[in-house]
Amino acid sequence: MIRRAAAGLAIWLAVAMPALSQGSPEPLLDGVTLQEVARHAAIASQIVDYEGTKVLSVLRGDTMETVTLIETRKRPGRTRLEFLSPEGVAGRLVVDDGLQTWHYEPRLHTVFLGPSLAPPPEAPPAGWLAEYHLSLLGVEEVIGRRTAVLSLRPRSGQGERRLWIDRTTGVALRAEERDPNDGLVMVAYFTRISFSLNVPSALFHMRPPAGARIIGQGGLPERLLALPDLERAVGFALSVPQTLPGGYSLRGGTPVRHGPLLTASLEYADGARSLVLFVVPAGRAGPPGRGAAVPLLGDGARAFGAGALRIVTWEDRGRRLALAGPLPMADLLGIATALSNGSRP
Amino acid sequence: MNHRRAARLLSAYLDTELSSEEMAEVRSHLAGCPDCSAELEELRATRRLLSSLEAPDLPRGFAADLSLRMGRRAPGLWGWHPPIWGPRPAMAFAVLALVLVLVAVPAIRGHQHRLRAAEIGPDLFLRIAAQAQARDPLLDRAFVGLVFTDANLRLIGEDPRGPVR
Repeated sequence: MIRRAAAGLAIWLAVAMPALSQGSPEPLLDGVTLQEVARHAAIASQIVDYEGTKVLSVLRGDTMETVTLIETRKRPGRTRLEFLSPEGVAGRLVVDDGLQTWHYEPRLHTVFLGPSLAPPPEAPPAGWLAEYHLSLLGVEEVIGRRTAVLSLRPRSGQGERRLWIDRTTGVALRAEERDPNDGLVMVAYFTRISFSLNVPSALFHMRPPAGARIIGQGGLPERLLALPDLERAVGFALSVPQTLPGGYSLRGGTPVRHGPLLTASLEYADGARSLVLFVVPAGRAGPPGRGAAVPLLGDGARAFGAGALRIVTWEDRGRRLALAGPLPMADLLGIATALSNGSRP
Repeated sequence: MNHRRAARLLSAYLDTELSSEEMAEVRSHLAGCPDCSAELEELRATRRLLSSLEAPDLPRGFAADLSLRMGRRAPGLWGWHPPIWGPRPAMAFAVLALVLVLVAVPAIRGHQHRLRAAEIGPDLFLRIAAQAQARDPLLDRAFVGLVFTDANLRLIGEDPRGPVR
């Protein structure tokens, strides 16, 4: 079925490209829609093997940095990332076998063992793409390969994702993420790529170097729990809204345990990006000693950024809340303030 | 009754503060233990010596002054001293220490956990948020990998961009 889908994508792109390049507003051919193209792009990692050099420009700390790496993918959902530059990340290795992720940091001689970062193996649910407004921006060549340039905007109208989707494989050869203020958050593009390689499976098995410190880290379970189940799992009431300002709706939550800290983690998504709201009784976690004070949210409210992700944490009715996500700080604070005001009686 | 316990009860035996069963047990032990018998004799001698001492004359008005001072002390929970603490300071200290262990240690530990949670919490939350982004199948995998591994390092207190350049 997957092969048939890939073949369908290739045929559609081959025939439809000329029509698309002439600006056809809602390209449809034999029932193939933009939604289906996006869906094929989403499952391309499950059906295509490749190895390529990628350049990533991304906010790290408070400055944009350009990172170079070798990205290797092998069906189904296995990934290897070898970071080449800048100096601070050179040698960093990420090996994801679809079940768990090893992250080796050479300068610390440490291996972090955590959950897989591969997207869920099944195709995205049918309603998932309905959260996007899709449009075709045109046809462009990237490293000598023809691509369809797709724009995905959340229905909420905030932010945008652009993908340059390879006509034959469905792999995104270039990707851009823009925040609600149209600021570029991330640009990633291949400078070379090779498909149909016989990528050895051994590349996706990590053997920690001798003497390396190994740190096991838990993570989110694969399945999100409904609110009542999550409340039972963490042992305290959550009383959180089903939606957040900006068009984010609750997908579900999971308990997160780290040492003595047990937190409820709730995921909200607008289609393009996820926000995570953390709830913990205030008596179990105090205010962090860093970050900028946010008087609007009361004493002990702090906000700080960590590269592409930002976080704001505050106390509200005996709970410590933290909201984290890839949004500009002003937007994140706006949502946190609305959430705080909304919860007051 | 073993020797250690009998030796510990000798003073109370001499003052006839023990129960009738304990008095009988100590008596029985003394019959077969020359050491305890000797120690009991020493205790008796000490008591005789103390009781032979002449009581000093109290200053005039001592009784009235004492009554006045006692009257000033507000009656209440803290003003009441159970007779057990007087002659048993070691036991009082042990009970106090036990109370501290049972109450103060969990409180201190809870406070430490709260402080630690305050410090690690945001980094843990950022790491979970990075992982949550990975559910998005159209998000660039290298970007996810970089954000996630940076969060791993932050969680152990390391600067993801490496040592100061």
